[in-house]
Amino acid sequence: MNETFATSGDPFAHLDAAYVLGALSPQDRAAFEDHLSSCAACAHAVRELAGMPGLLAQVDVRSQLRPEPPPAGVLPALLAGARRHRRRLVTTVAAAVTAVAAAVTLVLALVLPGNEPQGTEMTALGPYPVRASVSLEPAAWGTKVAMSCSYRGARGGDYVLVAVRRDGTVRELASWYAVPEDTAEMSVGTPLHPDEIAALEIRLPDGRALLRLPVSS
Amino acid sequence: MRALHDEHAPALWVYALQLTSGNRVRAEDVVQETLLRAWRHPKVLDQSQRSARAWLFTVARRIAIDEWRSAATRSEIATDAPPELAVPDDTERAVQGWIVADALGELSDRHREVLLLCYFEGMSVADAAVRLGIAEGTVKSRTHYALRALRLALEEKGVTR
Repeated sequence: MNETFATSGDPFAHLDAAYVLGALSPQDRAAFEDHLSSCAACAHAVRELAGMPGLLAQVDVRSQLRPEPPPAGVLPALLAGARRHRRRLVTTVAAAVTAVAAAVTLVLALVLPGNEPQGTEMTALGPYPVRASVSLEPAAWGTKVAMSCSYRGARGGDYVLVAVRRDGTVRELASWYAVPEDTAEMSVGTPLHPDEIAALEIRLPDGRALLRLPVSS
Repeated sequence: MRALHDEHAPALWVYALQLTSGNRVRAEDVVQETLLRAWRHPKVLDQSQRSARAWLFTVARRIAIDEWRSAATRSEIATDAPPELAVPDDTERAVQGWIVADALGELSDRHREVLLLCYFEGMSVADAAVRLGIAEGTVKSRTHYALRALRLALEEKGVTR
């Protein structure tokens, strides 16, 4: 055993933990308490450890120290659920191509001040149970669009995020299924450059627009 | 998703079992739904493990309550106890307990063992020495190092007291 009283000459120096854990014999405890009144180092050591029993008490021995493993079926079900979700989320990831992107000095003249990650709130076009904020970030290959969309309806439903070009044509950026009382966060890339985008809209699959954010250039 | 499952499913499963009073079918639903939501909100997991756990446990509890409510309106559960009573908010305590349990898990076997005996099994130094077949002085110094190692591990996890 190399765990001897190595460093300090104080024979009480290692009793702090056993003391706060309540494991000392009555004799040892009494002797240690006597010693504490005259030894600042040991008193300090005890104060340092004084909170530990309270923390240990938070542990549920039965369920947390020897926890029952989760059922084997959970992981496969999760992977299947993730696949279903992914299929709905058709993202148009930009093909990162062309080295023509020398003109990277795109001044971001969008609605958003700076590149605030939380984005800009989209305007509701009616009393719909959806709210969303988006941010656009120019990239060499186009634009990165980050969106957070919360849905307060009860039934859930399919939604589509589209970019409206200056000529009025639209390009679908993403589609997803909104879960009741939940927020969908996504980040998608589009080869459109910010100055090609007149507005972003969240629409129903039938084309009806629910939320809109004009993108000024 | 697999990483998410491996890191959090064990703790969530135990917590969900408590939330559902041991109903394994419902507990499994709660774990799955919670982890699916976490997977769709990867940002919440970027935080400290403690905040991530707190988020997961809070979501799990909400899901358990919502399930309880919808089952109650379908009159499947015949009881007068409101869900707040059936599902007490012990989220914070459960999260804290897991952090401490995780920190214990990171200790060396020798250190963990001596804390289990001297604290959780309430043994005296003398009893622990007999159990482990080592000197009482060794038990004392081992608890000294073990409790300090635990304190350090907890500080790294953002728990200080």
